[in-house]
Formats: sequence, structure tokens, C-alpha cells
Amino acid sequence: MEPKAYIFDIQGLSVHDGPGCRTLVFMQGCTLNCNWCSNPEGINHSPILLYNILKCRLDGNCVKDCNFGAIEIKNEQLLINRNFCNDCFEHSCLNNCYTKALSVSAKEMTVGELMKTINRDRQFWGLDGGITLSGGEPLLQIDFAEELLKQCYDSYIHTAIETCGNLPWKHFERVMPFLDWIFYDLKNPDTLLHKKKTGSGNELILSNAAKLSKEFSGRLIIRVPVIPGFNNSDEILEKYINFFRENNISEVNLLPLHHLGREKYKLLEREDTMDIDNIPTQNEMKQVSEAFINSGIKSYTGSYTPF
Amino acid sequence: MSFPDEFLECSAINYYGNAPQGHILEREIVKNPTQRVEKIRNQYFETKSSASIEFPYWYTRKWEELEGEVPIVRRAEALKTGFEHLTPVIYPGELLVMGKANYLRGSYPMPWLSEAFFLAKEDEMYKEALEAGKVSSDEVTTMGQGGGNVTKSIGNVISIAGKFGMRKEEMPMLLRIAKKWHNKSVDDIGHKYEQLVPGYSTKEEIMRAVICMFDSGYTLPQGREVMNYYYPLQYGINGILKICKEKIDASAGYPNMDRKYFYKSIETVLLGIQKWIKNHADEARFMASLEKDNNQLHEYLDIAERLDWLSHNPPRDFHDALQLTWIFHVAVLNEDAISGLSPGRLGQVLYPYWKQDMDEGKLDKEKTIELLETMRMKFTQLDCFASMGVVGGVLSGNTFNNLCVGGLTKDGNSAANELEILIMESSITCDTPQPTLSLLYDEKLPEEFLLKGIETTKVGTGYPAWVNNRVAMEFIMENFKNEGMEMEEARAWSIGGCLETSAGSWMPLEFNGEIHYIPGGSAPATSVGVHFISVPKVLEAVLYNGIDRRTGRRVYPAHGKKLSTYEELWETFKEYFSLTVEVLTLTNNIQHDIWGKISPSIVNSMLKPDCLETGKDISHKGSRYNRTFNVEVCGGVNLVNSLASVKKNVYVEKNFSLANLKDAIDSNFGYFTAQETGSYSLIEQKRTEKYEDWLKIHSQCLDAPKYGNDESFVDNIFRDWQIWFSKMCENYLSLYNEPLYSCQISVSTHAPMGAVTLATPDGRLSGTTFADGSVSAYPGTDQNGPYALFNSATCYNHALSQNSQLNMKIHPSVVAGREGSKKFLEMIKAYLRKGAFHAQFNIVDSRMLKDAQNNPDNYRGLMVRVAGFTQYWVELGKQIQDEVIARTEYEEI
Repeated sequence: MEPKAYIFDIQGLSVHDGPGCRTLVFMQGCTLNCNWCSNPEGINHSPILLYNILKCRLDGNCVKDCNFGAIEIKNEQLLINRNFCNDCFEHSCLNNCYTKALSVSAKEMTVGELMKTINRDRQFWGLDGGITLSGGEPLLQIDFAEELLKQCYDSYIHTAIETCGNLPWKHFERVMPFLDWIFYDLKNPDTLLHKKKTGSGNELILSNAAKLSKEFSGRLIIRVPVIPGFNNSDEILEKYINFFRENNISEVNLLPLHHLGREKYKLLEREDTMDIDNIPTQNEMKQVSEAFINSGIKSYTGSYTPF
Repeated sequence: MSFPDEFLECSAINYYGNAPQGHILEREIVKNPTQRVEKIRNQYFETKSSASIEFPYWYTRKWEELEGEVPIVRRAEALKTGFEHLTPVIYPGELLVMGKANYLRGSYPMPWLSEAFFLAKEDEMYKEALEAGKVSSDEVTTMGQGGGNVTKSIGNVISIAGKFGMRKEEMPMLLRIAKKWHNKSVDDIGHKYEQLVPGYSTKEEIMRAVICMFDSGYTLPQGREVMNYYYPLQYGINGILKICKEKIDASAGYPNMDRKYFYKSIETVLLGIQKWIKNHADEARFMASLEKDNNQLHEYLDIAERLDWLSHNPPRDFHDALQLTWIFHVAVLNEDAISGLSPGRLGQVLYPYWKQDMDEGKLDKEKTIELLETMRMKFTQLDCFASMGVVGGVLSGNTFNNLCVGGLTKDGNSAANELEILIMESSITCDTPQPTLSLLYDEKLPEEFLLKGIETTKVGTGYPAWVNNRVAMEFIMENFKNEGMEMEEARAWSIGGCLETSAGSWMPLEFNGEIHYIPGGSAPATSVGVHFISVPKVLEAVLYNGIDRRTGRRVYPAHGKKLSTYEELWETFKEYFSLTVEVLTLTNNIQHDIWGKISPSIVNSMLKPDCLETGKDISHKGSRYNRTFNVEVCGGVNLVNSLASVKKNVYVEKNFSLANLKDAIDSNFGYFTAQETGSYSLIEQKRTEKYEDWLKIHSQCLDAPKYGNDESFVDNIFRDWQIWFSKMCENYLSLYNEPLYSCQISVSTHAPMGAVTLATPDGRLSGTTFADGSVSAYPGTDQNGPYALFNSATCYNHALSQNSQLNMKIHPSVVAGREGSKKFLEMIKAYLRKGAFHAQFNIVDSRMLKDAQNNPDNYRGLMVRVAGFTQYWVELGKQIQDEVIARTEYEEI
């Protein structure tokens, strides 16, 4: 059977996630839960219900249409039983929601369907260009990812993933042969700090990165979301640099933390955890960048990359 | 410093919504003009559009004197007298001199085309003139906000049509002259004869319902065409006078005597132009006699010497050639109400002169850029005083002087040259509205040249427009095949006006003992004919059995059909649309016939090959190519989306009946109308209490497939419409016995035409603006990103039509830096390779992002690109938007 996956967005003309103009495929589900996540709708492993209160006129249609009694209106407020709804697959509440106050984060697609879009888009990439699987964690839906990357690779399409690394090594083994580039997130080299902000330690992430640096023949670029007070101290930077050196990793792409995804937290009715962290100043970015550069590691900040 | 508000309107891209106010503060590429030009530019910013009565006064006086004279000679004498009496003005620091009228931003009404506006407003204008001088200084201060427009009378200056200021004492003369043209203007005589068309009453109803925007015969009878500077450059004024003399001798008394009058007319007008140039030379000498600054004094004397030379002879160098082309550009503008008179591929025309000067060391790059900057200022100072009664504020004095770079040479190689790179550079350093630029893209153009185009695009002025050379050549070959168009000649094409593909020719310029084949226009105005049919409004008439629902008046004969199938609906639409084109073609032909009879073009005719050879003016097929009448439509994407919605909801899924739909339209889907809310913005429409009743049907209409998403259900309808429309135009013949063709620019008509159209079956609300351009998606409906839009846009052959138009707003995050420039170019190339004709980009700066917060519907498709992040700009939320704006200002994002 042809593998399927939940895709929460397909974004053409993406220019900061690999060489050339690319099509980004955002895959649902993540193995981390970072408090600064800019795509929080992609964390849940199944498509998640989004609720835009500004569009809601409280007509009660969703209350009637839900077969599980999970939605109710109280005191002129729509109450969604998130414990139940976040794992619902039926979504009959959308049937008569004419203003589209309710929607679902992702849709299910087959590899074939996605390849159709990719083949359409590749006409417009120009020189370079290709696809980048992002998310969420793109390797979580591994059967789909493997088949898609294989088909792309076989049709001469440049392939990249942007991964959090927090997966069993065998996932990487399955996709490595079909990958040109890997953007590999290393949010913090200190496992306790890592666990504090992402919900998970970094042991697996570090060991996978170490293996990739030896076994992956394509281009490996470590991505570091720069978060002041979390991963920009001299001590942490030294740990980063040691890790890069030990594994002969030569390139880092520093991404200044941003709060652009804030509005999405409202749609998820999730606590907005973005404010915990401040956006780095230009100066802070420069310090981090110089630390890497002074250690002989090529460092690119934000979208100012050589690709 | 603030730019005049036309600054943004002038690029085709910004027609949607209001141009945001204020100066562009932050952008990646910022350069400044030379000190000299900076001064001239500041002078311009402080100057208002000024109307003068000089030219029309002398024109009318001579015209009256010569009653009974052969019409074309009478017109020539009137023009000559006008030119001779224009007061010469030379401004300090100018390197190029002369202009339309005796003011820096001068222009004048041309009542011989249409005088109705002035007569209709007579009382009002007299009253204004009487009350002049009473406005307090406070009010004068607030006037500054209108850019160069004189939006209301101040001091002793009277506002005309909210745009031009005229001195109080000239006002009585304007009205007196207007009266003299009553029943004699092209408008009045044309109107008398167009009533002879059997379907005339339908035409009147079509105009009243605003299914058609305006008549073209007397509004802007010329323009949307490419200048041809060959004859003055090759022969000089004396040389052309000599040709006329020989031609008169050879034709006087022989059959086809019209030729003789034509040559006589050219001779007459040329003598007027010669005097006009000499008057400026005298003025320069006079200025020199008063000047104490030695540099300036010598510059005045240089100007005088140059003008003296050019009043007789062909140019000797680049500066001469630039001055002479400018003189003839203005001379054409002074004979008719014209918008869109384009210099065309000027960088290729002037290249031999520039090359000579560079080789001889007379010029360097810096000096060239300064000269080109002064040229930009000259073009920017141009105003168009169109026939106000018809065009009103729609054109806003916009002049659309399109300068093209790139394309191919006569023998098919890249035509891009170093001078054109400097032309682009000068439009970065002096980023004024005119001339607007188009880059004629071809695979053969060098990468360096294309990246200069990208750099220019990134300045954020909206130009150059990227247009596809191959698609245009295919259109030119097909359109002019019956007039003998050949591949080599097709390469001489250029853009005339906003986006009108225009036929050109290669002319053999002899300079320094060599022959240089220079491109220039060789057809009269394109984009005259049936102008702006509102196609959603035609569909509305189909649904309401031929009635304009807004006014209740019958426009078309009742079709009386049940419209029980989609095919019947589509056929009926075709019937009404065809009827519209038929009746408008006939009446427009009459107007243009009258124009050619009583007010023919002489200056432009002289310049256009092969009028001077054949002895016929452009309104008598004197030019080499004459298939120039077209049909323009507006709102095509809303039509297509509406058809898709009806097809899906009424005929395929039967979600509701046509009667239900009409009820919903009548109720405006439960919203107040735009007229009631006073806002034409989509997002600000307010609900009535009946909103709930129509919610379901409205959501079904909105949910129907929309153009721009790569969905075949609707893209097939789009393609059917495009193909049928382009082919049907050929069923109608222009005045010159040539078939019409389709043209698809909306200019600014999608706003006023949307304003009088009820809600449409695609879910658009009553009175709101249609989609702009011809292949741009309706705001907010292209939800699958730019590549899906590109695919939808290219689902038909763009060469079927004179143009297609795609406007995109792009956030700087998409194109930032060196890599961004290259990726941007790759994207444009890819879209054009797919067969698209045109794309134009606004690189949105922080000022526009602020506008986007207030008018989100205009920016719904705006992408923000940050690594690994997905969301559209409008979904970011106010607080985050502010943050992005702040970051854009610091160019950090």
C-alpha cells in the first residue's frame, strides 16, 4: 500500500532551507516539545483542531455535529475538550462551520499526491532548488518520508530534511541514501538544559549527529536556534564547539529566535510559551557567530547563508 | 521629503487599493542622484500640476482664422501657431531643456478633442474664480498632502478636476475657448455620428450601467505606443523639410492629392517646432546674459548652441541625441491628449552616439548617469491633461512613458548594451516614477544584465516589469501576419504604455559612416477601441435577464432563457458579451474616424514609418502596421471564479438553485453594501442582521474552486474564457478594416467597475474591487502558494493576447541579500519560461507593511520567509506584525 502522511503545509518559493528556491513540506508530529516552537500546530502526532475565535459566531453547529459531545457552549464561549479532540480523526464538527472558525491543522496525502505537487513546483525552482522536509519532525512518519525521498532522489530532485534528531538511528539509515542535505537541529549540547526546554534529553540527538558526521556523505549543517540565556553562554558555546570538533562538523546555521508563530498558540488554545525567551539582539547573534568562526567553523546567521 | 502620490500609481503593480503614504525609508538598495539632479528633483517635489491656456488659445485663434481651409492643413497651422507661442522657460541646472508648457509640471486642456467637461462645470469654475484668494493659509498648508495635485483652489490658483491648477485670470479664457469648440470638437461631432449605429441605444445603456468604462476616440486618441525617433536623428529638421519639399513637388497636381496636404502639414508643423526650439535658444542666451555664475553661464550658452544646431541639423553626440529625442517626444505629446507614449528601446537607439562619445573620451559613466537622471526628471515632470469629462480622475494624469531594455537585435542576438545598464542604474539613483522600465526578457540576455534588472526591482519602485520577449514576438507575428510581419522585424517590438505589446521596425541610422539598425515603433496607438468591459457585470446581466439590477434599466434584449444548464449560461454570457463588443466597436470606429478627419495626428504621423514615404497619416493607414484596435476587459478572474461557483453549486452539486443564488446576491449575502459602509475594502464589510440567512450559501460560494490554486475545475473555465475571448475579437473589424484583438490590463478600472457591480457568485460582495491585472488571483483566494498560481496563470497560451498581467507583492525576506537576488531571478525566469508574458513585483518595505496592517485584504498572499517557518503575513497578528515591521526597518529579518 502506498504510504500516507499528515502534511500540515506545503510551501513553495522557500528560500532559506537549502539551495535555490524550494518547496517545503511540513510534516505533522514531533518528538520534542520546545516552548519556543514556531509551528506548534505541527507538534501533535495527528492532525489537531484549530479554533479561530475571531471567526466564531457561536451558532452551535459544531456542538450538534460532534458525535462525541466533546464541544459545548457555556457563557457565550465555545469549550473544546482538548483531551479528546486533539486525537479525534472524525472532525465532523467542521461540516457546518461556515465561517471556518474551526479547521484542522493537517491533511492526509499519499506519496503520489505529493509528488504531483512537487513535479508541478520543480518547473519553477530554477537552477538548484528541490524539496526540504520539515515539520514537526519529518522522519516521524518514516515510511512516507523514505518513499518520498527515494522517489525524489530517483527523479533527480535535490533533497533535504530539517530534523530535530531525536529519533532512533535506524530512521536515518533508511533515508540517508536518498538525501543530499541534512539540516540538523542541536538546541543545546547540555542534556539537562535541553530537557528543560524541549521535554527531552539530547543523548540520542548527539549520538545521531556523531554518526551522521561519519556516515552521511551529503552536506550536514547543524542548526542552532539562538536563545539568549539558554544556549549562548561561553560555557555552552564551548560545549558546542567541542562537539563540532570531535565530530569534524564544519558548518553551523544560527537561527535567531523569533516569535512569528505566536498567533498559532491562540488557535491551539495552548498556553503561549514563547514569551519565556527573548529574541536575541544583533550583538548577541554576533557574539555567538564569532565564537564559532574563531574556532574555524563556518557560521551563517539567519537567511544570510551562502546557499 | 515625500513622493507625489502618483509615484506608486504609475507602476502597474500598485493599482490595487490605495497607495500607502510617506517616503520609503528602508530598503536593501538605496542610492542618490547627483547633486545637480537632487536639486532638480526637490524643485519637482515642490511643484504642482499646472495647466496653462497658452497653447489652446493660440491653437483656437488660428483654427478660427482658417475656417474653410483643408482640415489637415488647418490643424497644422493651428499646431504651428501653438508651438510658436509657447513661452520658453529654462531652469537653472538643467542639462536637458524644454517641456510641454510654460510651467515645470505644465500641461494644457485640448478642447478640440472634448470641451464638454468645461462647459458642464462652467458655473462652478466661474464661482471658484470669483472666490479665489479667500482661502486661508491653514488650508494651503494641508494641501501639501496631495503630492503634486491641486486638489482644491488655493490663492489665485483654481483647481480643475481635482488635479490641475490654473491661474485665476486664465479661467475666463478657458471657458471662452471651450465654448468655441461646442459642437465642433471630436467628442461632439463623433457623438452626433455614432448615433447612426443601429444598436446605439444599447451602447448608451452599456455606458450608463458602466459595463464599459469609456470611449476611446476623443479621450486619449493616441498613446499606448512606441515612439520612433529615426527621422529626426537621421535627417534633422532641415532634412525632413527637404523631404517634404521634394514630396510636395512630386505630388502637387497628381492623383492622390491628399499626400500633398499631408506633406504641407508636416512642413508647417515642423516650422513651428523649429521656432519653438529657437525660442528656447534665445531664452538660454537671455538667461546667460543675466547669469553671474560662470559655470551656469557657460551651461546656458551650451544649451543655446545645442538648440540652435538641433533646430536645423541631426545630432552630433549623445547629449544632442538625447535632447532631440526629448524634443520630439514632447512635440507629439503636444498635439493630442496622450497617455502611454513610450520612448521604447531608447538605450539601443542612442547607443551609437554614446559609444562614439565614450570612445572619444567625451563622456564617462558618471556623466552619462547624470544626463540620464535629468532625462528621468524630464519624463517625471510630464503631466497628461486628458479629456476630463470622460476620464475624470481615473487616469490621474498618469503618463506611462515605458522605456524598454533588453530584447533581441535585428539579427537575433542579445540587444542588451552597457548604456542600458546605466539606464537601470540611473533609475536606481533617481528612482522617480517616469520613465517606467520594462525588461524584455530573453534567454539570450547576459546574466549580468538580468541581475542589474533584479537590483533595480529590489529598489522597490515596481519597475522594471519583466516581460517575455518570445511570447511577445509570437503575438506580433500572429497579429500582424496579414500586414507582412516577418521574424526579423518582430524582434523590433517594444512595450507601448502600461503593458501593450507594440509592433516596431528596424531603421537604418547612418552615423559616423556606419549603418546602425535602431528599433522604433511603427504602428499607431495600440489600445484604442473597446475599452474595459466589466465581464462580471455582463454575467450579472445574464443572471437578471438583461437588466442592470443596480439601476433597474434594461441594457440588453431579454434572453428569456431558464439557464437550466451550465452550457446555456455560458452561451448566453457569450451572446451578451458579443453584443457589447459589436456595438462598441461600431461606435468607437466612428469616433476614431471623426478624429482622423478633423484632428489627425501630424507630428506622430511624420515620425512613424512609413507615413513620410506613403504620404498618409496614421489615421489613414500610413504606418507600416495597422492592426491596433483591441478589446480590453476587466474583472476576468472574478468572472471565472463566478462561473466555477455556479457550475459547481448550481449545476453539478445542486447545493442551491439559480433563484436562491439571485436572492443571495440581491441581499449581498447578508452584508451591508460597500456604498452603505463607505468602504470598498473586502475586510471592512459589515454584516446585517440577515447575515445568518445567507451564511451557508455564501460559504458555498466562497468554497467553490478559485483561480490561482492549480485546480483544473476552475482553471479549465479560465482557459476556455481566455481562448474564446481572444478568438471572438477577430470577428470584429476596426476602422482600418483589421480584426480586433484582446488586451488584458485592468489599469485602475477594477475599482470603479467593481463599485457598480452587485455581489458575484464567487462570494465577492457588492461594490468591492475586482481582482487586478489579468492573471493575478482575487486577494486571499490563492491559498496554495506562488507555484500553484504560476501554474494556473500559464494554463493557456499568453501569446493569444496582447498581454497578460501578474502583480506580486514580495516581502524583502524572500529576496534578501546576494543569494536572494539570484533566487529571485531564477523564480522570474521559471515563470516566464513556462510561457507567461509578464510579472511585476513590489518589494514590500516597512511602510507598505504598515499599510498592510490597515488594508490586509490587499496583502493576503504576502509571504514571509523565515527558515523552517510557515505562515502568511496577514495571519501573523498585529503584535507580531509590528515586530516584523521593526525588524524590516533594521533589515535584520
